[in-house]
Amino acid sequence: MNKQRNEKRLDELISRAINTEKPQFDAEKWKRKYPDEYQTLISRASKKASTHRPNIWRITLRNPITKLAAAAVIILAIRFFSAHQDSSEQTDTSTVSKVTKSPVEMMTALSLERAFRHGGIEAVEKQCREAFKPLGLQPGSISIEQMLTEFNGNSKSSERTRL
Amino acid sequence: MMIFAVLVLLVSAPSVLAYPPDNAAILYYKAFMLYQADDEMNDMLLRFAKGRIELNEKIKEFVNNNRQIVNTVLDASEIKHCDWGLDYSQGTEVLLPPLHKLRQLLGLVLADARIPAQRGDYKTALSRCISVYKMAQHLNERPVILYIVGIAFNAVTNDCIIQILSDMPPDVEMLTWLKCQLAHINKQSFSIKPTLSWKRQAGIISMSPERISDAVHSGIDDGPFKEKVLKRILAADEQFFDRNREYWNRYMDNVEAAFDLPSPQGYAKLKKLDEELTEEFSKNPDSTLTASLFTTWQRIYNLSTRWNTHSNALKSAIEIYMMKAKTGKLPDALPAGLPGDLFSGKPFQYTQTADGFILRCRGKDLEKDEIYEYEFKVKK
Repeated sequence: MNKQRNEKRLDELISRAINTEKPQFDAEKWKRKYPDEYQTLISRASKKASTHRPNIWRITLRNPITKLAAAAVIILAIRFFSAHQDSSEQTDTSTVSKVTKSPVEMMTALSLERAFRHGGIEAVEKQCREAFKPLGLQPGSISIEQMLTEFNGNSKSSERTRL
Repeated sequence: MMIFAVLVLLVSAPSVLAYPPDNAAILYYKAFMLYQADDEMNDMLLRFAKGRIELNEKIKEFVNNNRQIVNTVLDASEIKHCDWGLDYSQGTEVLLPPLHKLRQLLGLVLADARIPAQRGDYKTALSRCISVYKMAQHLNERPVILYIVGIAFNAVTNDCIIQILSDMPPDVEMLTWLKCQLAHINKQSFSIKPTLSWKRQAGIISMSPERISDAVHSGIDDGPFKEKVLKRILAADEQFFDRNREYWNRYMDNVEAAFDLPSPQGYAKLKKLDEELTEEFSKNPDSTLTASLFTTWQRIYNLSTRWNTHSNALKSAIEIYMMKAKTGKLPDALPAGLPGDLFSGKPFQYTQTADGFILRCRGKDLEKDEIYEYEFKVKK
């Protein structure tokens, strides 16, 4: 029953999202909200954009010159990283984009799907841990002595306040 | 007036004080807040649950110290209704619960399942595992990632049960009970369907002028593809969004149809859909937003096939253990009618070993050049 009600609500929300006053894409609002992305777009405006994401390598590597260039870049990159990194640092399951920063942004369904695409369930877990990091760790345990010290400290401060 | 107030209090008191609550998510969120375990302990608990390491004092003490958390999670698993409080009106930008905490709790509960098995209390051990399957059902919510985490829960629990069965002398009564419990769990099928339906609806919500920038922001990596998508959106009119939603609906029709197909065909169809989308993106602006909300459906299809095959191996093994319990020896050949390997659509290859038996798939993983086999030990 509950499920039906939720689905009905969802349907209403969808139809509201689609059928109402036909809002326009607000470019100005977008520029303000994601200035980094806007800057990226502006700075690259003069360059010729390449195409699709899911299999971009397949498209790009059709050209033999690109293949050679890509091979050279890969070799240089490998040499650079092997000179500057320990083997333990070479596997990077980091998925949090430079632009995606806030914990809220990291915990959206789509952002976590992106993490999964990059590094499977481990990357999803890592991103969740990262998102909840600001909350900090709770103290594992506290001794009676520590509690007494805290209590005395608080009593003194309240006495001071009263005085 | 006074009498009326007292009556209201009396009537409402039981529901206010009732424990457990009627929503499992409340208890899960409570456990998330209270439970703390470092990476080393999480890893140790999961490895112990899967039978990779032996029980040690550190694990015993840790599980014992977290008894209240285990009980809270077990109570939650018994509650039928689980509403995580997700705001689906946000489309693909719905915020999910802390999934890393769920995985930590999985390690804790399964470690707590294996401890009683070590002292011969197999019923308690297996009951704990059944509770984890129920937790996984609570994760069979709509978002794709929750479905994937649910599959991971089921797969680790399968491993844990395989370990318990390997430690347990074959016992008809216990095996029959386990078989009934699994059949009951299977009735409330763990399915991709709610996820597919959610993804379609979430995509439609996100493909609106006021929401699309958030979806692109969180769903696509920085690079030329994102740049191209952003440019098309900046130049978009109302018709762009209408046509993209139509394209998306057709695409999702095909994805749903592919998931209804058996293993090799379903995977092949999803792969073809991915290739077609790649081609389309460069020449057809109507495919822009579909490509932006792209999900690795092939990978999810493969995960699902792998987990279902794993579950079939477990169900077949229970039948073999039952034959051992009844006759005193393992069957010479795999009995007919048992659930098989979903990669090939054929029965498992059955081999007896010195200390038990192996069920081997006949088909390869859909993505890797690997054939899975499941080893079961029989306690003498």
